[in-house]
Amino acid sequence: MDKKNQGFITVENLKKYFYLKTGLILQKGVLKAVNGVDFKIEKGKTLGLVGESGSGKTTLGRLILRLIKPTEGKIYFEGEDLVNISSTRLRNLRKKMQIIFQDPYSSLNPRFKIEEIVEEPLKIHRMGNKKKRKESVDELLNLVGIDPSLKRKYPHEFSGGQRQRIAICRALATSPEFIVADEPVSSLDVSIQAQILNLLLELQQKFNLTYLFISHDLAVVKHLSDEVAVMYAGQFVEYGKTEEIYNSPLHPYTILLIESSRMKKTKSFIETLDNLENGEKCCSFYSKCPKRKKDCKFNKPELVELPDKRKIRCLLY
Amino acid sequence: MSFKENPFLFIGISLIGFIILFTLITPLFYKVSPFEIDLENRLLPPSKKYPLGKDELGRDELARILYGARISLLVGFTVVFISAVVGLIMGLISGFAGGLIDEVIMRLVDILLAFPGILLAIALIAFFGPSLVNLIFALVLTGWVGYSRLARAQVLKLKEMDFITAAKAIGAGYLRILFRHLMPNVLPFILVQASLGIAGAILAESGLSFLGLGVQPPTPSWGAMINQGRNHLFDAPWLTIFPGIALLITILGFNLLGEGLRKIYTPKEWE
Repeated sequence: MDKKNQGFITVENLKKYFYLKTGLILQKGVLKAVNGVDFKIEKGKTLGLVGESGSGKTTLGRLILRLIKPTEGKIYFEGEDLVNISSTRLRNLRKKMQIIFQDPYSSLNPRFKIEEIVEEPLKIHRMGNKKKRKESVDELLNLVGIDPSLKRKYPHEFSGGQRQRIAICRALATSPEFIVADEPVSSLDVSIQAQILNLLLELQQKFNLTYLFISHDLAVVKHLSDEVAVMYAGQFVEYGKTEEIYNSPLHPYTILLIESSRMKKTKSFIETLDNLENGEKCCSFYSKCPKRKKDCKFNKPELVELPDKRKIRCLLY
Repeated sequence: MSFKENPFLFIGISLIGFIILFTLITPLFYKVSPFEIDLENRLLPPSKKYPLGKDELGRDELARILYGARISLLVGFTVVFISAVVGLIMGLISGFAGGLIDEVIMRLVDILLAFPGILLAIALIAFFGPSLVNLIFALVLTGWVGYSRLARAQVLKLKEMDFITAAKAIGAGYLRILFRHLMPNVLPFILVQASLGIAGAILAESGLSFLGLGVQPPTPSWGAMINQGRNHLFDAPWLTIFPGIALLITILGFNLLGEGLRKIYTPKEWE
């Protein structure tokens, strides 16, 4: 593929299946966590990824960073193929892409002092000598708003918000270009959420960072994203510019999500169907869709591009 | 850390300290051989000259208890140290690698666990012949499995935590994840188990020596002394009581120490 044609991050037909063993006798089930996803992110931009829990958001985030191996598909980072890559090269590339986790209580090693946590990426990638690294640790801690005089303390001596700052600090240590933020504020108090989001925005402007921002909270995503992808059952159901999707959502699932986030009583509530006789053939949202038609039961919709360049996976359009 | 916060630790350390100091300092001024036979004075009750009396061959009981303490502590520490190191490494590898390696190690553990530990030790000693080295070998062979299961269970739990994924994401290699991230988080659990295990190992040594499978006469060990004293339980009870008390204090001390360490080493956030 031509390098010019690609975004900073390009993902093509990405799939991740988990094979489950169920029952005593060898019955095998397949969980299609990510089932054919395509997108691009331009440098310095943010793609917001929304969807309910279990929709495959987190799996997608980890696939792009190659923390797990994809079943199928392509991932390009600055035009470099991340799927067929040597493990040495991948480890080397890791300094350019980082991740921030949802739960700052489990993302920091409880036996490391925070200076060790922040210094570790520098050590691994042999950046600077001992003295220089110590200086960078202080600088980085200042950057995220943690007093460097606290660097000899352990994670359990900090609050949730401070811990998330430390986790962000670690992610920034090697000056990455791309960061996957996996629900970075969902486990924080509302008052702290805004602080962390502002910090992320500030850092993006300062270092021209590219984000994949994963969240189930639409308000949070709207605040940060240039583009939004709505994920359902491992696939994008709607994907386009943030304002367009928020101002005129089209897919029934997006509409449901936006209505529920505005605390409106969802008028479009509909009884969900449990049993799908032909699960493979019908639209994956069929059982919960308020606008379902007969056709939807027998046809699987493709992701189609509308005139305003937004993409949608629904037979109604 | 004060006595009130963690009384177990303080009492445990005091008891072990007492035993260790007692066995190190007393011989400096109590210079009586534990091997010297004095048949004229056999089964002498405790007196000013012989504080803990004399055994059936007229050997000094106090000197033998002091000498026996070295054997007991030596066996206790050596067995636990080797078992814990082997168990920790096997458990880390097993839990981290998963798959076939995990399967092989865990089935080996299952096989060893299927025997009652002491029975396997008896069988091994019967096969190789009784000696101090074989005793240690037999106890290690049955001892490491407990540590490896503990380490594996901790690794399986930790492996799913985000900080391990984070370590991968910053480009840490397997060795770094294994030894810098996983091991320090597993070690406290092993340490606690080990401090409890020392008591078990000392007891196992005593048990095997009691059965005549441990340390061989004339070398004294607490278990062997209790065994010999058994014949004179009614006419010379001090021959069983004093080594029994020494054993009791030591085991109590290590058990309390283990409990105290467990309290300290449980990370605050996991309590």
